[in-house]
Order: sequence, then C-alpha cells, then structure tokens
Amino acid sequence: MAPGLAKKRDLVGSYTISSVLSEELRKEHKHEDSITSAKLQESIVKNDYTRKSLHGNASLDFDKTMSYKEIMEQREFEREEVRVKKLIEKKKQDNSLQEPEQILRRKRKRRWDVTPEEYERTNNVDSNQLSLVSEADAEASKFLQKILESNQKLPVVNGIPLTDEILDKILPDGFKKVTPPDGYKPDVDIAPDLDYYVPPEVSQDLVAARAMESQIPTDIQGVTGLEFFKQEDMKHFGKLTTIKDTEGLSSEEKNEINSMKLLLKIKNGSQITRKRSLRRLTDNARKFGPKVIFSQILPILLEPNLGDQERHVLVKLVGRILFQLDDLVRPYTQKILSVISPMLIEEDFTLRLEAREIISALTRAAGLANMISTLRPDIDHADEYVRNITSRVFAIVANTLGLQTFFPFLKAVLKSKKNWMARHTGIKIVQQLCILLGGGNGTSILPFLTQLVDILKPSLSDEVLQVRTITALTLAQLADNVKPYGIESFETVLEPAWLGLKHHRGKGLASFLKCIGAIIPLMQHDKNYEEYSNYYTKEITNIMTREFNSPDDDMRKSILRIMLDLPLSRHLITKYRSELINPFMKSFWNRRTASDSQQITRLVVDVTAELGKKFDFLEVFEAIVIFTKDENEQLRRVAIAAINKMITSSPEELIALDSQLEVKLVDGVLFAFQEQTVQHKIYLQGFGAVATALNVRLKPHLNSIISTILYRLKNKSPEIRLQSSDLIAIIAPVIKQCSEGDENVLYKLILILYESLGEVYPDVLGSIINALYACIDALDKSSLYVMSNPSINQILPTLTPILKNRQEKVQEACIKLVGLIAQKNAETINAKEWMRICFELLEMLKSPKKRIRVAANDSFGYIAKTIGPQDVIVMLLNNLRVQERQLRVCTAVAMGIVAKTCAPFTVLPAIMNEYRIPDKNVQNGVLKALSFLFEYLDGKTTKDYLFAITPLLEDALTDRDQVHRQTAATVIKHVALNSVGLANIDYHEVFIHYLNLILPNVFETSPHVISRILESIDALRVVLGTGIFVNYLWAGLFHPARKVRSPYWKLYNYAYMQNSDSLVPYYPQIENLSDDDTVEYHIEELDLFL
Amino acid sequence: MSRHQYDLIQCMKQPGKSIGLVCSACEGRCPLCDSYVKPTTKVRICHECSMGHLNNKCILCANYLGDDKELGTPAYYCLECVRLEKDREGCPRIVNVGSLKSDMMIRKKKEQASTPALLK
Repeated sequence: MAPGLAKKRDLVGSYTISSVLSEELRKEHKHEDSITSAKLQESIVKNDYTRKSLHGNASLDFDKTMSYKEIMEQREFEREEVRVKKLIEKKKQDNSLQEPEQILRRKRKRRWDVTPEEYERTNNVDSNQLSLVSEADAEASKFLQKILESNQKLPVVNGIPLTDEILDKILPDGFKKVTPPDGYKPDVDIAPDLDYYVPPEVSQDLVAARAMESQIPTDIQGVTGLEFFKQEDMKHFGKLTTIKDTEGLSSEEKNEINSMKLLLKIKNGSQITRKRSLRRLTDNARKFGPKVIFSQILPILLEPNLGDQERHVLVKLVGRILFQLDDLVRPYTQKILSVISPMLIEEDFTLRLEAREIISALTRAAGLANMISTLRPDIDHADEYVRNITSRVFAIVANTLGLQTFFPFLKAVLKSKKNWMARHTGIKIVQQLCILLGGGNGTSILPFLTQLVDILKPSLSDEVLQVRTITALTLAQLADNVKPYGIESFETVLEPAWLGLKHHRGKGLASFLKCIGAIIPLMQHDKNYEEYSNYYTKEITNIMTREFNSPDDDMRKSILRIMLDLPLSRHLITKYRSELINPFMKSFWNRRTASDSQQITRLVVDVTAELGKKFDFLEVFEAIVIFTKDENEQLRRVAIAAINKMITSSPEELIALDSQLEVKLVDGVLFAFQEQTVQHKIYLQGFGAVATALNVRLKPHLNSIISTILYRLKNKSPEIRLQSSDLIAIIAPVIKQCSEGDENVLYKLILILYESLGEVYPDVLGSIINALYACIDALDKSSLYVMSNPSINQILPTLTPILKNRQEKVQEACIKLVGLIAQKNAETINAKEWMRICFELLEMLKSPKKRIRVAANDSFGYIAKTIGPQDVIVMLLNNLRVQERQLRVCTAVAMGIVAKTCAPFTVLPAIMNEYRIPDKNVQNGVLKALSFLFEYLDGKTTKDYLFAITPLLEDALTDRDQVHRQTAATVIKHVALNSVGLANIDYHEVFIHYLNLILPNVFETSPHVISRILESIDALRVVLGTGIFVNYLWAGLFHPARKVRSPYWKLYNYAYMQNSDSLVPYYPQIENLSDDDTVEYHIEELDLFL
Repeated sequence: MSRHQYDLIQCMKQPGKSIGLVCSACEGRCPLCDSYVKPTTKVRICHECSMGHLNNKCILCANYLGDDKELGTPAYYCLECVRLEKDREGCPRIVNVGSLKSDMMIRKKKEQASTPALLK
C-alpha cells in the first residue's frame, strides 16, 4: 500500500479503541474451542485398561452367590470360548488367503451356446444387483426403508417422502418452515388428511432422561448439608426421594434407609457433614451389617462418572468399615476385591497405596484360605487384565500374611502344568511381591530364595515366550531385592539365563540382559565369585555396546539401568575409551536422545556420572561440556544436568581442572543459562554447583556472570526475572568469597535489588527478597554497619508495607529478612519502628502456613532481644484475648520464645499477673505460655522458678475446667522432665505436691486430657523416683471397682516397663501380713531404710 | 506427627542401623511429640523402613527427599522423649498415608484441574 493512501485513510476519524488494547481484549476473551489438555488427558487415560476397571467382571448381585465349583466351571467355559474364537479367527484368515483365487478366476466371456439376448439379460441383472449393493444406494435405500417403516404420515411425491432433511436439500437457501399461528386449531370434524407431516417422535432415552431430570430433587427429606445431587445419584439414592415417612417400615428397611442417608451425606455433603456422617456410619457399621452397607457402596464405586473426591471418600469409608466389621466381611470378599483391586493399577501413587492398605486389611479380616478360594479362579483367567490384577492382589496377600504361610500355594501355582497362564501369573506374583517390597528390602524373601530360584529355573526355557520373558524379569527383580546377598542361590540359573541371552532378540533379549545385569552386582559382593563377576561383566559389556544403537526404548532403558550397577573398572576394560565411552557418547549424547522421555535422559545423566567416576572424570566431563553450547536446547539442558550431577557428587575432581576447560565450563554454563527459552530449575542447580565447586576460581568470570544476571533482572518476562534473582540468592556466598574484603560488588547488588522491591509479580518479589536476604547474610556485621546506599535504616521501612502482602512466598521471605536484620543490625533502628513491625508480625500469626508462623515467632525473639521484652510482652498478652485458637497458641509460643531469649524473670511476673483475669481463654493462654516457656528453658534455670509458679499451678489443677487441668499437667511435665537430676531432695516436696494434685485426674475420660495427665504422672515418676511413686499405687491396684482399678494398673504397667528393676525393693511384703486381723509392727533390721 | 494426627500409624518394629531422615518441612521436629526444641538423640529406623519404596522419603510426612536422599536431614528425639525412654519403643516411621494428606492431594488435584498456574 502506498504511504499516501495510508495517510489518507488515517484522516478518517477512527473512533475504535487502539489496536494494542483490542489485541489485549481479544486475548482476554479468547474462547478456547479446542479440547482442553485436561480433557484430552482424561480421554487418553480412559484407555482400554482403565475402562475395564469400571465394567470389570464384577457381579455385584448380593442375593446370588456362586459356589467355587460354579465359578471354576464358568472360567473353564470362558477359556474354551476364547480358544474357539481364536480358532475361528485363524480359519477365517486361512480362508481369506484362499479367497483371492476365487475372485480372480476369470469369467468366461460367452459360452458358445448362449444367445446374445440371453447374455445381455444376465449381464444386466448382474449389474443391477451390483448397483443395489453399491454404497451410496445402500444408504439411500436404508433411509427410505427407515422412513417407510417408521409409519410416519408424510406427503410423498414421486416416491420421495418430504421430510425436513430432504426439503432442505431440494429448496435453495433462505426458506424456512412456517409454524401455524397461535390460535390455530385443526378442525376435528374434518377427517384428518393422512398425508400431512408428523414430527419424528422423541426417542425413548431422551424421555427417560428428561423424566429423571425433572425428578432430581433439590432437597431430600432428612438429609441436609448436601453440596450437589447428580443425575447418577438417582440410580442409587432414588429410594430416599420416594419414601416419605419411615413409620410403617420394618426395622431392616429402616436400617437400609438410614445407612443410605448417611452414605449420601458422605458422598455429596459439605466437609463438616461428610466428616460427621463418616464417623456415624463407621461407628454403627456392625449394627447396619455388611450386606446393607456394601450393597450400597460398591455399585456407586463402579459408577464411571464418579468424581475423584467422591471416589476417594468412599474408598476411605470402605477402609474404615473393614476395620470395624472385621471377620463379618468374609462372604463379601470377592465383591469388595472386584471393586477395589482395579485401583491397584491406578496412575496416582497415593491411590494405589490406599487400595493396597484396604486389600491388606481385607486379607487380615478374611484369612488366607478365603482369599485363595476367592482369587484362585482368576489365576488362569482368559483375560490378561484380570490375571495382572490378580497377581497384584496375591502379592499383597503374601506380603501381609508372610511368605511362610503363602509359599505352599505359590509353589503349587508355579509348578502348574495345566496351562501356561497359571504359571505366568504365579511368576508375576513373585515379581509384584518384589516390587511391593522395593529394592534392597528382601529380608523376608531371603529364606525362600533358593527354593524360589529353583522353581523358576525351568521356566527360563519354557516353550511360551511370555513365560520366559517374565521369568527373566522376575529373577532380575529378585536379585535386586536381595542385593547384596544370595549369589549362591542364583548360581544355578546363570547358565540357562546366559543361554537365553544368546538365543533371544528384541524384547526377550532386553529381559535376559536385565536378569544377568541384576545378578552381576551380587557376585561382586562375594569374594568366591570374583572370576564370575569379571567374566560376565566383560561379556555383557560387549553385548551392550552392540545394542547401544538399538532403536527400542525398552532395550535402551535396560542397558542404561544395568550400566549403573555394573562393577566396571579400568582394569577390567582396558580399552575403555574406544570400547565403552566413545560408543556410549556417540549413541546416547545426541539430540535424538535428549528429546526422548525424561526417564531416559535422567538415566543417561546418571550413567554418564557413573562412567566419570569409574573411568576418567575429566575426560568424560570435557566431552559433556561441549554440549552446553549445542544448538539444541534440550541437549544443553541434559548437559547441564550431567554437569550438576558430576560436580555435586565429586567436587574435589575439579581441582585438576585446567584453566582452558574451566573457561569452557563457565562459558558453557553461562551460555546455556542465557539461551534457555523454557525456565528450568536445573540451570540454577547446575550454576550453583559450578559456583560452589569453583569458589574463588570463579573470580575472573564474576564480572560477566553478574552483568548477565543484572541484564536479565531487567527483563520483560517475569519468569526470567524470577530465575535471575534466585540465581543471585544461590551465588551470593561465592561472590563474598571472591570479593576478598572488597564488598562493592555485594553493595551494588543490594542496591539494585533494593530498587527492584517495587516488583508487581508476587512470586518474583519473593525471590528478590530472598536474594536480598542472601546478600545481606553474606556480608559480615562490620561491613553492614558501613553500608550507606541503601543503609539498613532505609531497607527496613521499605519492608514494612511488604509485610502486608498476602502472598505466602513474599510473607515468608519478608519475615525472614526482618528477622535477619534484627539479628545482625538491630541497634541502628528506632524501637518504634520495631514495634510497628511487631504489630505486623502478630497479623502473620494468622497465616495458614506453619512455616510463616514459625518464622514470625522467631522474629519476635530477635526483636525482643534488641528492644527489651517489656513492650513486646504487653502486646502479646493483649493478644491472648482474641477468639481464634490458633492465634492464641501462637501468641503463647511467642511469649515462650521471648521469655527464653530475655531470661524468664523479665516476663514471668507480667505473665503470671495476667492469670488473675477471670477469663478462661486468657488463663489457658497463660498456662500454655508457661508450658512453652518451660519446654524451651533448660533444667538449671527451671528449678529456680519452681516455687514461684507453684501457687498458680495449684490453682489451675484445682479448677473445674478440664483444659485448665490439662494444660497445667503439661506445664508440670515439662518442669519435671527438665529438672531430672538437677532438683535435689529440697525440691521433692514440690513435686510430691504436684503429684497429690494430679493423681485424682486419672479418672478423666476425655482422650486429650487423660493422655496429658498420664504423661505428666510419668514425668513426675521419673523425677521423684519409683519408690515414692509406687506408694501412691498400691491402694488402687486391688480396689473392688474396676473403674478405679484399671487406671491404676495402667500407671503400674508404665512404671513396670520403665523401671522394673528399681521396683523390686519397694514391693510390699504381703507374706508378712497375717490372715487374722492382728496387726504386726515387726520390721527386720535390714528392711529399715530412710 | 502421630501425636496430632490420630490416624497415622507408626511402624514400631525393632530399629536397625539406619538413621531416619526428614524433609525440610519436618526438620527439627521430634517424631514422637512434635517438639521443636532440645534435639537429643538421632532417630534410628528399622531395616524395612529404610529400604523399598519408602527409602528416600521423609519418615514423618513421606515427602520426597531426592534420589540420593540429598534433601533429607537426620531426625532427632527431643530431650523429654529421651528422658521418658520413648526413643526406645521402636521404629517411629509413619507407614500409612493419613487422611489429612490424601484429602489434600485430592483437593490439590481438583484445584490444579480448574486453575492453571502462572509460574511454575
């Protein structure tokens, strides 16, 4: 476009918003019409396997139960069915192989005895038939057929029914259907014209759905606190809506209705309702009975549209009910398993763990025999999915009940001759058991190892490939579990495994490689097997280098895993450079691998570090450093990860680094840092590792590094600013090391960070404050004093408004920085400023994050130390009157900290004075503060305050309020335990006084109270000695009332557990008591002691 | 931990030679009474708890401690628990997932699905 023209256009007044603004608006309101990634993920996850978990083989009919024999027959039938289907398939394939011949048989053109007319006719018929079969026509005819069959009254012209669709096609655009006017009523007298249009009927499903929708109630009688009610819920809870009153129902039905109500509340209720109902249902589980409960829960769990939250809460419920019902669940084992076991292959680790715990509890309740009879039919199920799950469940059973009891069954399965699937599942059970226990955790397997390996040995040469592969994998897993023991047991399988290694290709080879690769580290542990170890390591290295170039991911992964554990060394592989390292670099350090899955890149990094350790660190290191300047970002990132790993594991190797490589290294790391497009934390870690390892050697490069950071600190993108301030925080100590007394660099950094405190993005602001913290922390006290631009006096007032920021990262960083300043340089700041900050810190105690509260409490201590405790403690005492419990507890902690830092005598009078206020909260707060105070103090100081606090504790222990007594008991516990060994006999009467006051409380029933009371009695026993203590017990131990006896026995048992030896001299001499009522005062001479 | 969350289960098997490690969030906390002061003796956990899938997890909250447990710090019993000899009762490792934690995970999952994070 000519410039003049453009100008002319500009003359026309434009009254729209500016293009920049509109662009932004467009972005804001951009409607995402593609599928969101979460949805996509969901649809991917819902693959064949997961879908099966919902429609598994579960038969949840609670009235019909099949006997073991029936189930076995059914399974046999299913297997047969699959076999026949396979045969049919095969036959079809064979047929289709022959069919082409038939089709290609040439048709004779025209027999000599057929007249031309006849020939023509037959040809026509053929073509007619063909045309009928042709696709388009078939569709049309189907359509016609449908319309004719549907018996609709439509006008038909030339045999074409005029439906809406057809009319739309015939008529040009712009026509629309006219509806009859509102008041129009067709005349009933006139016989209806049969040819008029009848709208298609609404489908049956839609009607049902609409009916359901209209039925979905907003509230259900007797059930409150629901958050939602879904359409699917009607299926399970519909009964609740139809039944209006429970008067005329039998007790069974009432039970059912009640449990259903509770279940609905648990599933759909708000948090409080859910918790309450969960508790009620579990408490009453035995009353409702297993049938009622499980027949309601299990079908809901199979609902495909169940939300994560609902599923989770229901699974939790099942777990708790199992615990309550115990052996009552036996008849329902199969049903529970069929619902819960699919969760064992869930992607989320926690969900798997949950399922594992439930199955473990079920096993304990149901017993081994029951579990085996339930699961036995599935061991050779025709479906691989069912077998997989069964093996996992069996592994849990074996783990729960111990291999000792499970082993006979396992042996039988492994030796099964009937069918390879059973054998396969049996081997898989062992594998899953190993995975369940985890690497190096084979103590429970070790006693059975030899037997297991012997049973597995023949399967290594089984006729079915699947069995051979799984056997090799299982042996690898076993070896991994029992590492470093048990090579003697594995010796027998070495030969067949090696043979298998030679005979297999592809996936089979990978599994056999894994098997041998896992056994070699065991040989290394035993001196007698040194030759074996050397031989196999060499051989397997040859095979692995051959397979380095394999395109198969599985193979690459197993090779890398094996290399991590192999006892490679320079002596073993003398030409390691040409035989191992170079081929490894060539086939694994390339862009293709770097863009591979994260798992592989991590393994590559680990193996590279391992090779560096075992062969030549600097050589491997140099080979990698090159890749930090590669054009491919992913490869650069992997290189940085490898450098990070190598340096952090052995930083001392860098001493031998020559200056050239050093320049290359720093340059490369800096380049990779600058060129990153996706911010990743590995760059920070790598940079930090390099900086700490090089330390003062970083000095020549410091200028370029800092200028890069500062440049990036001004970047437009918040991520980059965030990352560069994080980097400052990491390298600040190194900068200090390099500065050699000249702090100008750090001063400059502090100034720039101080100027950036106006940052808008909270995440970035948090990082900037952290960087500021690191810089100030690196400086020593004297240089902090002379810092003038900005001085600490300037920094602190700037932080005060930032403390009000709601973002947690900012809050935490800011509190920490304030605490640091209070520690390092408090004197230069006005006390009023500190008080202002104290008020802000009080607000922080409301934070839901514990780390923030802890940091705030620590800061109170530092501030009180500088400005004296008086003002701070007054402020804290006033804070005890607030309502929220968390705030009061935190204030109490803060008072404890202040008292500890400023010595107790400065604050104790004020705190004790506060106890006179007749407010429960305040008094409890004071007691709590005392409890924290004496927890923090050491014993020597504690005993000086014993007499001072006794009247207060006396009052608290005789209060009506339970919490008073409970908290006073905690105070006494701390006091007593602190003074063990420090308080001499003069103090004993105080403790005896406490014991006298506490002992009546042993009859408390509230769980919190009684546990604190018992703890404090324990503590008093420790400080007073067993002798005095047990005198309090004898009278209660044989009291006629059980309620009195049992707490006394509990106390006695505690004493017996801890001091059984010192109890002996204090037992009363019952044999001296005479049977009649005469009292004897005779005491043997040596029995007398004071 | 188990003092304040009642559904947590401690292992309580015979402790072995390995030291129990905790994450940065649980650092300095006594595994029995949650006290933050006077760390006295190192925590020892049983063999099974130091191996397997739990080997590189915090003994209290099962947070991940890195491949080589580089983020873990040794746990200590506090003075009071040592004086009451509670440190000799058994391996204090938490072996189950508490309902508080699993509830939180589900909630986080839900939030994650609904709001994408600005900065990761």
